[in-house]
Amino acid sequence: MPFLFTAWRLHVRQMSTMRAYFMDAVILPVIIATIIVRLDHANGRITNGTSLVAGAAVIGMWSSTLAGAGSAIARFRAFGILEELVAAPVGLVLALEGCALASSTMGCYSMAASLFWAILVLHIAVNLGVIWLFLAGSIVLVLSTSTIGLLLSAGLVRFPRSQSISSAFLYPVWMLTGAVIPIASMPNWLQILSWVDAPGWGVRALQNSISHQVLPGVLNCMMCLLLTGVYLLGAVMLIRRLELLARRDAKLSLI
Amino acid sequence: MIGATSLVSNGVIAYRGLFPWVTKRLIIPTLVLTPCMQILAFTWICSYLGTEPTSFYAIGNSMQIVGRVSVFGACVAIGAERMLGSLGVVVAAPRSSAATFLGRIPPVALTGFVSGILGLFACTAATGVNIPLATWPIVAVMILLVATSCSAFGLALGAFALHIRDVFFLPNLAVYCMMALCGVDFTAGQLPQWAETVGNALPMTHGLEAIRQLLSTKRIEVNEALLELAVLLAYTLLACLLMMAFEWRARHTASIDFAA
Repeated sequence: MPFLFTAWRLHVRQMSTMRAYFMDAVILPVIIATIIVRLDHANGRITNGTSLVAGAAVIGMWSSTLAGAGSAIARFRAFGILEELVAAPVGLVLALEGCALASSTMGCYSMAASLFWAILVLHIAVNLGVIWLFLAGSIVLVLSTSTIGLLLSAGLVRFPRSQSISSAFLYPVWMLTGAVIPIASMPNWLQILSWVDAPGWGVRALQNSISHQVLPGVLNCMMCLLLTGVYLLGAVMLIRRLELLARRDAKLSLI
Repeated sequence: MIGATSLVSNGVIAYRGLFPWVTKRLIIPTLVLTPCMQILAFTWICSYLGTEPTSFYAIGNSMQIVGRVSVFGACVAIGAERMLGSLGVVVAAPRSSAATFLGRIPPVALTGFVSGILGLFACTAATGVNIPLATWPIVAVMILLVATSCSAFGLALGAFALHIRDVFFLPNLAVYCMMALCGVDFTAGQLPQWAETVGNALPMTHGLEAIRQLLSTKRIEVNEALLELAVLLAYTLLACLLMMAFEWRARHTASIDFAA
């Protein structure tokens, strides 16, 4: 745990100073929030503005996770520290989870930026509903996105430019969360697919919080945590296997 | 003529050197899969939330991809030199930096064009938007024009690579702003006046409008096409002026690392 905390803190401090993460975490959700809120207003719809803005914030969270965690192994390799991390007595999974958690934590900037933008520029009366549920939903959302990032990071280890591959997941996973378009309006096969999309349950918890539905919100949080646990298990198994291969072959190409 | 050929061939060589990742293995996810996902996602979202028909958003977002690839490509064509440590050599060479970097527009614009065409194909297939066969050649020419003007804009932004260290922040910001200001998802009147004025000075706005007019009236809107051409020339000139100014400063201060 102390190692995970140290890794998380180090990466958060590092990422907070990088403009690329600032772009993913702050500018992207703000622009998307502006587009969807303006479209919604132009249509004369009475959609909950807070829900739309929170939906836009989710893409910032997911985007920074992809940028930070999706290519973590490739980045460590490029920096020349992968060897030390694999050879260290602490498991590689903890080092990667620290990075994944940190990049998802950057999503808190997304949420804050989107909500402030909504209040100050889009003039939306932001109402988070049940505050503790909104916070709980945000936390499970951070955990679930970071775990998908960890899974991607391990899964894409074969690709030297994994960032290019992981970028393709940005919009499909975001759409599957139902953050902007209700899942019910999607084709059946996508609705079924959305059941295994952990961040989707977190987004539903946020939407429940905004509409003051406490019990469904709590259940959605729990479902999100359960799926996150399954993802984590898969990621740990995959990374352990990679570590074993690296130690057995005494090389880090992992291919 | 020989000068122009040399300019383009230098650009192609630089493109191959600076974009080594454009391999068969990565070209599909980078230039096809990710852009198509973005086009489909935004077409879907905007059709759900907006007032216009699906074709409006499908075409707008396909052009956004052209803009994204072209602006980034052109900017990286200069920025990557700094990253790889070869910018000083390029600037110190006895040839004008502006001439060297202008040659990098054609391959980048062509990449944006191909990406846009593929995106438009994917989008028409997925959303059922019908683009008549007879209009495809003119649409293709307009996409090429948009790709070139976006590349010129990217080059103007990339010129700052001669001055600042973190040059990749600028194209990121520009691409997101273009998404909101160039009429990708909005009709005239849906944006504030100031935003429309800024949008009119950006590449892609007029080209996109020309393509939409062409598809709705089956006639090319010459004025919009000419305006896009004017934007292309203006940004090319701006890029040259900026590069000349930064190059002059570098020579004047006898410094290869110009970053503040």
